[in-house]
Formats: sequence, structure tokens, C-alpha cells
Amino acid sequence: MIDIENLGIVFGSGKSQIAAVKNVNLQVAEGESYGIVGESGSGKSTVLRAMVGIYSHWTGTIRIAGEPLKAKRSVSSRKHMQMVFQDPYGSLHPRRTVDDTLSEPLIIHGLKNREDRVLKILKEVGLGPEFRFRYPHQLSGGQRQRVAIARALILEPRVILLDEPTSALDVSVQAEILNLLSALRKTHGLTYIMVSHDLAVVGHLCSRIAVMNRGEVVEEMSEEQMRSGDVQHDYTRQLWTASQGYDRAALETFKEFA
Amino acid sequence: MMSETALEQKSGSTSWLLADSPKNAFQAKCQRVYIGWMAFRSNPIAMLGLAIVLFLCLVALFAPLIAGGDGTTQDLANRLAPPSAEHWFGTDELGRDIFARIVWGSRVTLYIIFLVSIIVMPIGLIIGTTAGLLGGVVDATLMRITDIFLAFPRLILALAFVAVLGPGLENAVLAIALTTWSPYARLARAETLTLRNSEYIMAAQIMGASRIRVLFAHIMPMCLSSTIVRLTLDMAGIILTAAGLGFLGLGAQPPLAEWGAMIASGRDYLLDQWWVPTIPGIAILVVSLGFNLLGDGLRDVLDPRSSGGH
Repeated sequence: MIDIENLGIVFGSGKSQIAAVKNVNLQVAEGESYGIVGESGSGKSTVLRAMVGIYSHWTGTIRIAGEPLKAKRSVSSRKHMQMVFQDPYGSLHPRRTVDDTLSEPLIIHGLKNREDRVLKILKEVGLGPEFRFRYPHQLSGGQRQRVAIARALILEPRVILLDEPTSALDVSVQAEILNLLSALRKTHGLTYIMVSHDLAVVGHLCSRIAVMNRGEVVEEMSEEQMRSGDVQHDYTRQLWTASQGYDRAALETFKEFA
Repeated sequence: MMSETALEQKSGSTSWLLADSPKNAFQAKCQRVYIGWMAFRSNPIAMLGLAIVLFLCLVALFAPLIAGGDGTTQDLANRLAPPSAEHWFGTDELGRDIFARIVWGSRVTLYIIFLVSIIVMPIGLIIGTTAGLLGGVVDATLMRITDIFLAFPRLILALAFVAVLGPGLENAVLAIALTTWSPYARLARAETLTLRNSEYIMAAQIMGASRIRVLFAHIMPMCLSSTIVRLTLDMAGIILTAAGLGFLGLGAQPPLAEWGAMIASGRDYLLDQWWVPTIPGIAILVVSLGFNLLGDGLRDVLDPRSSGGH
């Protein structure tokens, strides 16, 4: 479904040039849920933003269902891939009601039966019709993230990119959102790519996980490897150890991977 | 927000305005306005400003009834009369009733304010948000033009415009508007730059929204409130500039009652017949103050960080 070859993104020019993503290759099958983990600044979110076309100066090839993506997207091609952002407090327009937010993609793509579609999608993400005319500041963090998920789903895309969808939420709400995402994937046959710095969150949802460091994929591991900690690369092992909780002795052995 | 019990005790319309889950878009908008109004109402200084501005509007609306004359009738036998029961604010050098002229002058003031607002806001907003959103060459070009307008002293540039266009109220308004829009463009651009990289703008782009849609539907509503606040705070300056142009004989032409022109023609009598220039001066002061206080109150209510931030 998703096939990324040799993806590279460079920011800045001259001396301040930084290669945020270098030579990334990923293959994700239809209906699969794929995770990307790594520390802050490892380039994992940049990969997603290149895929949805926020960054247009990438090199390499990205194919969705065999179709190579161009730097400039047509409006109709936007339907196939949508994204859920990290911060539910920043990803909803503060002056628009839930209804405005959910209706807009339908208006842009000229879809009919807007009211029915909005009510249906709200129900699917577990929000009642009473939320339809609320403003974001009248919603909790978890409810906002549900609205953001509904906005991504309302165009009925086949691929959803999740950029740390739970990291701004508290732990009990994290579990609810993860369960919702996993249920939606089953009912709609969606393909996910999820980015996170939290191995536990990624392990809950994803069957295969790529580990990124300094813009490169250092290792790809399976769910079992993730559970057992049977990993090859030193950086992955360090990340895995860190996810097991705070340990002063382990912390002292940590080092920077360039 | 109020507690549940307090809500239940309220009457029907208030509970409709404070209902937890609005039934339609209209109710949601009304609720937003009402909650803003409650915040505004708790600020007595802002309410005083609102009262002054509303009073100005009412006076202008009912000017023929209040003034009891057209304010241009001359009575040379009764010139420079002090304030009395017949002429509340006295009469001027041509024996015209100053009270009537002040009342009619409120229409001129409101007219100037209205015209300047509907010219300045769209120009400033469109130039600023376009520059901020598109960036690059467009941004550089638009901002250098803005810089040129910013660099001129306002009154001098207005004088130059009026000198070219000819004296008169409409030309004075146009001159004021052309010299006032530049700070608004700057303000709108600065806000657009902070909004441009926000996740809700990215989400709109990902769903396929065109740049025009992003500009008008997403960015402008966010810039609108700070522009309105800035405009109300600038109103005092606009009124004073209009009065200044009137004072120099470049604004409203006689016999039209304009407060600045009234001060100009009355300044010779300041020592012996103080009321002739002082009364229009007080009128300008009160209205300027009213708009400033209103602007301060609106800033607290409309600030997106305080009303919709969390």
C-alpha cells in the first residue's frame, strides 16, 4: 500500500544545512499498522509531513497503492491520505465549531449529505450529536482528539498517518484513543503509520516498528522482538531499556548515537 | 462558566444561551457572543466606554429631534452669547447655537469613523494576511509598500493627500484611511506568521483547502479580533486627525458643523468667550475617551488566547 524509497529531506542551505531525513525506505502492506519510533528530532514526524505534502522539497519516491506522489498534490488525491496531529489543543481551529471543522473537508471535496456524514462520523469516534455545535474550548483533550480523528476519517481515506496521537493526553485517555484507533482500523480496513517516542504506545497498535535515529532508520523490528527486547542495534536496545522505566544504573550506560 | 444549579434557576432565554450542548450553529454563535458579553459586562470602565459610544450613536441618529434646529441658522444680534437656558452651550461668532452644532457634528464624526473603518480594516487585513501566508517575494513587496506608508508622519501625509484631492470631508476621510492602514497590515502579518505553522492550518491544507480558503476562512477570523481592538483604540487618533484637518480648513467645509473646524473658528475667542472653542474640544475628548475605554474592554474579551485558548 505504501512504498517509500530513498526518502530524503534537507532543511536550510549552506553551512546551516541539516539533513532531517536520510535514505529512508519503508514498505507497509494494506491494512497493516506500522510504527516509527525515535527520540525528538530523529526525523519521524518529518517523514509523515513529507507524505501528506506539507513539505514538498523531498527527494526519493513515495508510492501510495502503486501511484507515485508528486510534490504538488491535486485536491482529489488528498482524499486518500489524512493525518492526525499530536496536539489536540492546537489542531482544531479555536473559532470553529465541531460541525464547521467536520463539514469543511466535505465542502472542499463537494460531497453531499453533509449532516448525515457528520453525525455518522461523530458516532463512530464515540461522540454524541450533542457535541456537534460545541467549540474546541468546550471539549476535553480526549474529546478534541476524537474530533481530530473524525476529521481525518470523514473523507474515507485508506491511509491515516498518526503523529504521536496520544502523547498530549493523560494515560487513561491514551488507552481509550488507542482502542478507538484500533477498532476503526478493523471496521474500515485502514492502513496506519504511527509515529511515537513511546514504545509501549506503538507496541499496542503496531505489528512492525521502524526505529529512527538522526534521520535514518537504524532497525526494523517485529512485535515479538519489541516485547522480548531481542534487538540488534545498540540504539534500539538503549531505547528499549529506557522504555522499561527509570533505572539509574542503566541511565549511566546511555550514550549519544551519531 | 456557571455551576449547574445556577444554570437551572435562570430563565428560558438564559438557559438557551448557556446550554451545555447547543442544538444548532446559530445557538452556538449566540452562546459565544453572550459569554463574551458577560465578560465585557463585568468591566465597568469598558461599559462606560460602550455607554459613551452608544450615546454618540443615539445623538447622531436623533440629531434633528435633539438639536431643535439645523445648527446653521445665524443670529448676528445674539453672537457670542454665554451658556444660558435658551442656548445651553452658548452661541458662536455668527450667533449659531453651539449645542445644535455639537449634536449635528456627532453625525460628521460618526460618518468619518464609519468610512475610515470600512476602508482601513479590509485593506490592512488583506495585505497583511496575504503577505504573511504567501511569504517570499509577495511578502517583501507588500511589506516594503507598507513601510513607505509607515515612514510618513500621518498628519503630514494626510495634508499632502488633501492638497492633491482638494479639501472636503470625503477627501479627508480618504486621506486618513490611506495613512492609517499600514500598522494594521503589520499586525495582521505578524499574527498570520504565528498561525501559518499551526496544526489546524496544516490540517486544512492536508484536506485540500486552497490558499484562498485558508486565508479567508481560517486565518482572517483569527486576525479580525485584534484588528477590531486596534481600530477602536485608534479611533481617538482618527477623530483627532479629522479634527486637525478640519482645524486647518482641509476637512469639512463651512457651514457643515464639524468639531475640529468649530475649534478652529472659535480659537480667537478662547480668552473672552471660552465656551466657543472649549465645548467642541470637550466633545472630542469625551468621544475619544469612550472609544479608548471600549477598545481596552474589547481587547480583554476578544483576545483569542483568553476566550478560546483552552
